[in-house]
Amino acid sequence: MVDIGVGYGMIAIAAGLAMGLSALAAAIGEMAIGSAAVGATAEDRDMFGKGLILTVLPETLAIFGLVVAVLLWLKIP
Amino acid sequence: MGLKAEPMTRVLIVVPKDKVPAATSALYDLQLLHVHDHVEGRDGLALGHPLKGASVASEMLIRLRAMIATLEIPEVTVDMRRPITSLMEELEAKFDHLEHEIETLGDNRNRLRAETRNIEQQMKNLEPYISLGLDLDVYRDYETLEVIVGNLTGDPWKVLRNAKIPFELFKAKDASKTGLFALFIEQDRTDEVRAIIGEFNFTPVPSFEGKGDPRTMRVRLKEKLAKVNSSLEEVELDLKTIRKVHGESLFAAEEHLSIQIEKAESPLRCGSTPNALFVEGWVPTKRMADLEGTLTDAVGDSYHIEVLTDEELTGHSTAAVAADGGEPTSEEEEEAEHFDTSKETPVLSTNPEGFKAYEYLIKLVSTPRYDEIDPALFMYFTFPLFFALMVGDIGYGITFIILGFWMLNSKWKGVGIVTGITRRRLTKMIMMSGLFTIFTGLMYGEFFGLELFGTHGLVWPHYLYVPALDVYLPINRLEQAMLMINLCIYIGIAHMIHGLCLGIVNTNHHHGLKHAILGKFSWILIIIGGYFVFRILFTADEVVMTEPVMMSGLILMITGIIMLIAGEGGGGLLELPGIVSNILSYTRLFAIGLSSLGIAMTFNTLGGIMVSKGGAMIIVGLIVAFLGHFINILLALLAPSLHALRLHYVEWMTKFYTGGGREYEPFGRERIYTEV
Repeated sequence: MVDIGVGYGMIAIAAGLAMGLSALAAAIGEMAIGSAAVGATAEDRDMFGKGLILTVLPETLAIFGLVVAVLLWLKIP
Repeated sequence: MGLKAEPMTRVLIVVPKDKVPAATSALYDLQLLHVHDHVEGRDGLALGHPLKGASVASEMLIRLRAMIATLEIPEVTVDMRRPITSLMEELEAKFDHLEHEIETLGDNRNRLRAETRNIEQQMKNLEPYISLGLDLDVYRDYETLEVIVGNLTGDPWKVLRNAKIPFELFKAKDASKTGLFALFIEQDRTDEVRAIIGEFNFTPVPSFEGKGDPRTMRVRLKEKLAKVNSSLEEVELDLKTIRKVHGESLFAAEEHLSIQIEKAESPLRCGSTPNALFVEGWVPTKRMADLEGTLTDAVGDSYHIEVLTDEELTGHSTAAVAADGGEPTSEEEEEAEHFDTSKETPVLSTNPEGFKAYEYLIKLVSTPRYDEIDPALFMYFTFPLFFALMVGDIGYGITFIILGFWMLNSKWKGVGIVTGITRRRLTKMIMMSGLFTIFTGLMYGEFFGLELFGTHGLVWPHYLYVPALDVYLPINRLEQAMLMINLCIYIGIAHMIHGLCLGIVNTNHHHGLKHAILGKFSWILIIIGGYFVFRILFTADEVVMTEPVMMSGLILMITGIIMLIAGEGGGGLLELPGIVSNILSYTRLFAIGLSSLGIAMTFNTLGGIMVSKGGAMIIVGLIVAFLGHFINILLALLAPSLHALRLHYVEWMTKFYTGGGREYEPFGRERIYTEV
């Protein structure tokens, strides 16, 4: 086993938290939008495209999380 | 080409009353004029009256539609269009006779269908009585006895015995119907008994009118049903024959009559005086001659056509208000001034066929306005680029192109809203994206998740150094994450500045140059200045405020902010953090690609481990890898395309797009089953 030190371990945990928590937040956002979008589509089929786009809007959060995680991960040698 | 909508001319056509039928008919068949619906009283004009013959045609159409409904004709496709004169003559000759025949057959069919249902219901009701086995007369006509037939669960009979209620019980013979029973009791104790069995989930069985053995009854009902069914079949066969012989012509006549009625009712969309009809609408400017030629052919010289300019229109509306009731108030005047030609004028896009798929995607948000830049042209290049930057795999790119060819040639009709021409257009869009994906795949050196060339390349373990950019090609997305993030941010900045430039053009056209510079150009300054400032803040070891790059960045940014406040007030500042998140949002070009690459690599590793075990595991390993890539390709069609769209809709189009235009829908319709 290679000893990578506590500091690097902390970085790894931080990267994991950044990814996981932001994905969770994105999921909570998509939950509400997704159900509303399905409802709208049921009433009017033309809403499908708009609903789909609105549903992926909160995914930005997860992407920010991933970017932060990658930046942290690059600090580990 | 493509950027601007087809130029439209607003015209007013005046036709004398006696020429109205010829004129409207000609305009309808021309399918060129987008009619601006008249509102009762505007310009002091009343609504027109439907032409003579409308009510006769309507009545015939209703009867015809009833016939079509009775014949249950599905949508038919015909190879040959029928000439209307012979069609209508033929139909009129046989109409009454045919209608009578169809009506009689239809009535018969409905009666027989009802009878079938009735007999089937009776047979179902009879079922429990067959299980009980008693004669049907036994259940009825008692003076002192009450009979209860039904289902229940459990054993209420003990309770009845304990309550000292005399009864006689018959249970179903077959084991499958344990809860079924017939209970004979004294009439005056009925309520008591019902209360007791009510606690054992009692559900009554409907009574059955009839005599004798229920099994004989069943045989009799079966015979009756067979008889009714055979007559029903006969009737349906007759109807089918009629459908075969006359179906197509009825369908064609329906189309012709609908068109006749639409023509006859068209004056309802126009203004009129006792002697003339005023048709107002838009025509594509380059086809004005067609319109005038058609009218001349139809009515000779007896029409007047006038081109309305924007100024006339504004004055025109004010005049209308004044004509309505005295002096126009200031509010009404203001409304007249804001008569918005850009919103009212119908939009006919001039995009070549290749761009139509993107036009469709833009209309999902909103139809562009008449004098607004149509973004479809730019999306034609940027959408596949973004898609490809995310997927970036030679193998997947080739797969998309093969998939596209298959879709174009297959008989699969598509699902939901993605059918017909839209399906073809979207397929071509996927193929285009596939082509771009092959190029980005070369840039990343990836082939189905394997590193084909590059540092650890399987085929060519080398790389190229591009000194001008200080970049090693191919880019290994996993190892050069920082480079990818930077690349995404550059693309984001470029794309947003492009959006803002389009915004300058649009705003300049609508609100003038001052608004365009203060509202849009200021953002360009902020983005460029902000980029230099943040770049130094994040990367430099020591921040020196007086350094030239830092200074010029700060100056650009502050100038931009001052211009923004001048243009939009303090509220504009609230959008500053938004622009940062807009730019960072483009890092999804890297992030989504990473997840796609991750899935591909996982299945490659998994398959690779299995293959290395040898024997039958080689096949299992190949299947696992194949399925993994199959799923990943489906996901790649979904996620990257949605995110590429989102970058256009949210980050790009919000910088310049208003939308809310009206689509060009010319008066008239294409004949499918008939010809003049």
